[in-house]
Amino acid sequence: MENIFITQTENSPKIILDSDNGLIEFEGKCYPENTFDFFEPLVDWLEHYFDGNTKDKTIVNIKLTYFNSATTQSLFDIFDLIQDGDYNDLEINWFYDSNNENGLEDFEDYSDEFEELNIKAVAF
Amino acid sequence: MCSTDDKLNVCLTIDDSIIYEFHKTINEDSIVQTAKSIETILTKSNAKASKIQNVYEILVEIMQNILNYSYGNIDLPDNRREATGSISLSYSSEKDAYLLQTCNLVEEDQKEEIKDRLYQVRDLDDKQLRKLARQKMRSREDNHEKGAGLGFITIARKCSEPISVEFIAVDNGIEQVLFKFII
Repeated sequence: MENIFITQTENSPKIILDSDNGLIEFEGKCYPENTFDFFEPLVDWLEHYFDGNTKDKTIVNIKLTYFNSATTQSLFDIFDLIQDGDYNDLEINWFYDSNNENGLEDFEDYSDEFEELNIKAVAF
Repeated sequence: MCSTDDKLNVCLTIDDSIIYEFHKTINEDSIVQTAKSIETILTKSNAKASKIQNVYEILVEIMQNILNYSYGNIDLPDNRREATGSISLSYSSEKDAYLLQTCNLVEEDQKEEIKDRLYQVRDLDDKQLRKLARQKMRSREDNHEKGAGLGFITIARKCSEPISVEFIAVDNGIEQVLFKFII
């Protein structure tokens, strides 16, 4: 399957969907006007990857600073499809700003909802 | 602070002194520029990271809301839109709180929908809001082309006081809607 690399803009994150190295990354701000359109090809890729095409180890890094509510839903959908998917060794890292007293709020929302995924909080 | 002309008025005041102001129509570019400018100003004024994040995300959420639901918004190529409205942000050093106020026009039949959505969240505490958000994300019941129906829940979680809304009839079937968010 073809890898996807997207450059960061002021309102959309850098994306790495690298099936060769089992690396999935989202980094930056995320509030594109048509958020669901933005995520659609990414969700398609992830559905295919987690449908028996994973590497021995997959690392997912989420390092989003600011995002809108449609992104909140899209991330929920991504964690949902990963949880229902096929994978071997999986590591999910949620990066948060340790200077932000609310930095762990979003992490807690997702880690509570998707306990099986054992999402880890990593300070930056 | 509210006008119905074709420009977006953004101003930032501290204890009633305007320190930042510009005028633009609401579209994706002006949302990005407004959010960026406000982030820079709040960062320079040594605001707490959590306050900056809350102001930033509420600002984006409400501007995208105006873009999608305002009366008279225009469809542009590539599934984009442009709308009109006004926004102001002020800070009270006494309360250490930001007041974000927005104003735009909506059709009368949207008034009840906005009220319903708002009243659904305005008296809930954070735990209840979190539960409601998870329920809506699981059911995807309010998902539509442009959003997930989570906007007011997201905003309410970031406000320190209940969201305030006021409607003023301005023309046949058209209402002015004014929101106040204390952050």
